[in-house]
Amino acid sequence: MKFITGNATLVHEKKANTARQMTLFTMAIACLWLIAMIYQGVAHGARYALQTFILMAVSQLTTFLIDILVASFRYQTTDGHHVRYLLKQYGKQYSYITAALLTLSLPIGTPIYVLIVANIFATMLVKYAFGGFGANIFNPAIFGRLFVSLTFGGTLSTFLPPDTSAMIPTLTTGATITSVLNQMNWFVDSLQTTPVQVADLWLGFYAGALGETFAIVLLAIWGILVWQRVINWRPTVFFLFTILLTTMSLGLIRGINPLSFSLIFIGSGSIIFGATMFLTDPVTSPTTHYGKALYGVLAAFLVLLFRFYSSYVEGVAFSIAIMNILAPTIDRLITNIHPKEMRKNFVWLSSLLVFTVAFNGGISLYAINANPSSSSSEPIGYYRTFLGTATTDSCSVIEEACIPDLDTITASIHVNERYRIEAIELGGKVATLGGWSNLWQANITSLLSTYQTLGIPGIQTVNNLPNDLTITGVTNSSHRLKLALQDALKTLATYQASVVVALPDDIFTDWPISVTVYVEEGVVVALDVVDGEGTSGGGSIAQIWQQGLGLALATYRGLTVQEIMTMTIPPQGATIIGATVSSHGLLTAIQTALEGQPLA
Amino acid sequence: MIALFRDRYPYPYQAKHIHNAEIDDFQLYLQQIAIPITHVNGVELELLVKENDQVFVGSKIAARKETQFPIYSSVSGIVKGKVMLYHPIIGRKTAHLMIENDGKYLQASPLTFCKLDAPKEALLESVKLTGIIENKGVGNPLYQILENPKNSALEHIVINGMLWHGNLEKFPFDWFYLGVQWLLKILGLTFVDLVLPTTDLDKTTWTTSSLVNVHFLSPTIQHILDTQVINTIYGDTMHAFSGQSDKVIAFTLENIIQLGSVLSTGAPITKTPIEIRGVGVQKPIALTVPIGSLMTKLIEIAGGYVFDEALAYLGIPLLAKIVSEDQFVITPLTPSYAVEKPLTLNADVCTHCGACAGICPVYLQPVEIKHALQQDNTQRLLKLQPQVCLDCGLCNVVCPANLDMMDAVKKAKLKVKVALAKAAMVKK
Repeated sequence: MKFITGNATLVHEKKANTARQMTLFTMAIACLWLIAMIYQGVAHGARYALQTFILMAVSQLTTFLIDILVASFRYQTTDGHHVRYLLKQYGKQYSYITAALLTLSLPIGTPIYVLIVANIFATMLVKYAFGGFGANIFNPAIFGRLFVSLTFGGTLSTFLPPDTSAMIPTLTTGATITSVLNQMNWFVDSLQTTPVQVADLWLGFYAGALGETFAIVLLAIWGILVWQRVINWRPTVFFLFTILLTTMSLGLIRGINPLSFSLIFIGSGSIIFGATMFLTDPVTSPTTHYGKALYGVLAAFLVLLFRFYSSYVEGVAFSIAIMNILAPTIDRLITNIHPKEMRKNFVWLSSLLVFTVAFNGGISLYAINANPSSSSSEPIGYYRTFLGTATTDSCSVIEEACIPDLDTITASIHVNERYRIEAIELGGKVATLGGWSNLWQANITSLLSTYQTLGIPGIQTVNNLPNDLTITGVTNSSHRLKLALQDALKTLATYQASVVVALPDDIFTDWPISVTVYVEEGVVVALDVVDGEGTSGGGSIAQIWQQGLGLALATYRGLTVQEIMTMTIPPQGATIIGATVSSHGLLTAIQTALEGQPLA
Repeated sequence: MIALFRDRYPYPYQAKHIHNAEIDDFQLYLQQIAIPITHVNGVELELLVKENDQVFVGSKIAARKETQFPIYSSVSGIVKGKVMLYHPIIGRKTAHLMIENDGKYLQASPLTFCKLDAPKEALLESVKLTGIIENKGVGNPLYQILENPKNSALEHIVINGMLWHGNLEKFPFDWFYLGVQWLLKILGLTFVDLVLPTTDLDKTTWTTSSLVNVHFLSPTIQHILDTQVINTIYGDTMHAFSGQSDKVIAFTLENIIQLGSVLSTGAPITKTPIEIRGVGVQKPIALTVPIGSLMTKLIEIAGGYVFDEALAYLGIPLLAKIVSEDQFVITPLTPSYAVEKPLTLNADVCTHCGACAGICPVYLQPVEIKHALQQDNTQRLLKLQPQVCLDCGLCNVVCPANLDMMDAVKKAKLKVKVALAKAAMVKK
């Protein structure tokens, strides 16, 4: 045997091999692509599976041509056989991974020319202009995606509708789940008002980019790749952990279910796709393991910033792009990761994490305090909420024959301090049967606004359901909604009266005061003046009246009916200085109302 | 928490892959046995026998000039005189003493040692007599203690059994226990830390003593380095940034057993355990061979070589000694022998994956050092501190692109040393 004594590695870790790692990574992306193709085929028809195939094929062909072109430019006669050199370069540059990732980050409706432009930009400018594989400072796929979304933004919002069982699938430019959530400012712990459910969100059955939606599959692929030492686990784990921690805290601060909120927030859009496929790119992330962790936390911070405080729907691509730019700086700063420095670095890492949570939490807290009713699901913002339900049993009391079904409607009526309805929220199982769901969903918003204009007295006096309060085809549920609303208000006795105040001076015309008094167990809980306000002769007195009316009404609140009936003059707070006669008129109106019969 | 940012790779030569060779020792004894009489530092030993002298198994034949650390004959016969043979550790031809084997294996009278309750100086004299100092692994640390007996900063003794192989199971536990007792007595401590790998081998015997504090570590490639074992069990506080700390001393398990065996039987070390492994041999083996056996003979027992061209080295895969031929004799200092398929370096492009930085035992960033070297950026190199590199080569082991990171770090080391020397000159 011949002994080799030169400079050599004595043993080598089998898993540490670039070619092997790249092969596994390619296989992972191919899996993702196949799953995307199967999903498109099953959910929307074979045409769209073919479309997925064509997009990838075009992408790969474009990149192959670019590879060959660039290799031809670089070819020198000393490199050996020309064609062999070109093919070797194609194999060594791994541009096909870029092309595949770029294709998977685009929606199915992407026009072919946009795809070609994206590939040319990504491979030619972002990859080869910086020296090719291993030397590019930005992730080519991410920058290609960003380039086309900035230049051809309009063409990239064509998705297939998620649930198209009833209709022929056509490309629409409708809202995706991320844009819907973005409009809702992301603070939702339930997707009931959207067509997508949380399980669909994690399984990937909704409209989005080709490969980004399959969160669970992506995580499984990531796990295998980490186990095979293809990618580093640190950026992904620190990225997702930071987002999870922040969303959990924000959920608690906002009073919504933190777990559901986190699941929706992380599962929607490209957070998982970006974390598993782009953040782990070794070339564009920092070198040290600590740097990679820092990179993940910073990227998470940026994603949260983009999602919560920018008008742009998706922040993941932008934050990874920004982190690509920062990666060399992180490498530069972390010269050594000896435990001595490590302790200091842990402080940095954890303070950055805490900062991310505190920053977002702080802004959230500030937003709640500054504008209490800004969040629709925040009951504290309302003066009072009435809760009522109507179940199948309620069916027997309604006038028409009704088929008992499984529906249970819960209604929350949010009112302000004058008991004017601010909002009505529905819950429970609402018209889940068949195609009625669509009818109900389509009309419920306008129906609720009709109820809102009716007000509490109006709701209490509805008897036989008129046409404008019925959704045709969903009569039972319409009845049940009325019953639920009336059930919510059942403890409330409402008295109404109208008196005309005769003003002493000739320059003022007499004016009517219509008052609504809400009594619960003999105590006046709220009052509302409807017609009289603002018409007390006009001029400065009207202003005085309006300014004082709130306090005057508040003074009567909490008094018993007995106390009010025995009054001869208005109590101190209820006498508006400068509008004394009107104040007396108000008391007379209240007394008149209470003498009468309650409504309904 | 720090472990979050370190990588772990399994040790490639797990004990379960290595066979215990059940062979008759006598087939390894040659007609003429050559015993090296040169110390690893290249200085020849002082001969204690003359030509045509009769020697026995266990006769003292040579000793170091200043310290009188002895070596012993492994056969009985007639001294033939000096010959020059290849010494793999020194890397050139050195003096060996040739002994004509008479085939009788007559034993010299056993050595006599003082009792365990004797004063420290007497214990040290006895240990000196065992010949353990000239043995592999244990030699250097014990030598330092023998040279500076007043060194009292020592707090821990680590006995590294991470390179456990089946051969050790054949030795009685009493030998190990006796060795430990002597060590503790000499060094004035109360317990030793024994480090064993968490493999499926039976280790119950080794965990029964109160003098021995056993740690089970995962058999990762880092853990074959004493420095990493010390870092893992005591934390980085015990270990200086690089090099040995004077608070900890590390021995290998097999040497403590050898020390115990000499102390209990009185017969000096005439045999040594050796391991032949790697993909380049047909059947990896572990066996105990007489000193003076030829490596070629052992390769025959291991079934011969697999490749026409291969890389052979002595010792653990890190800090190893590459050999240029296998025509050498086994000495007490000969560590394990491995034959591997050579790997081509500079095969691919660096992807900045950080594997080298994640495994470096002294927390360097080889990839950054390589870049700074390419850019000729001395200021950056000074920050990256390549001078603390241990030359262990773990960065090369884990590099997916097969890059020669170690070479870059070595060059950077030189550059930084020159820069530091220049700076010192300017200061003066």
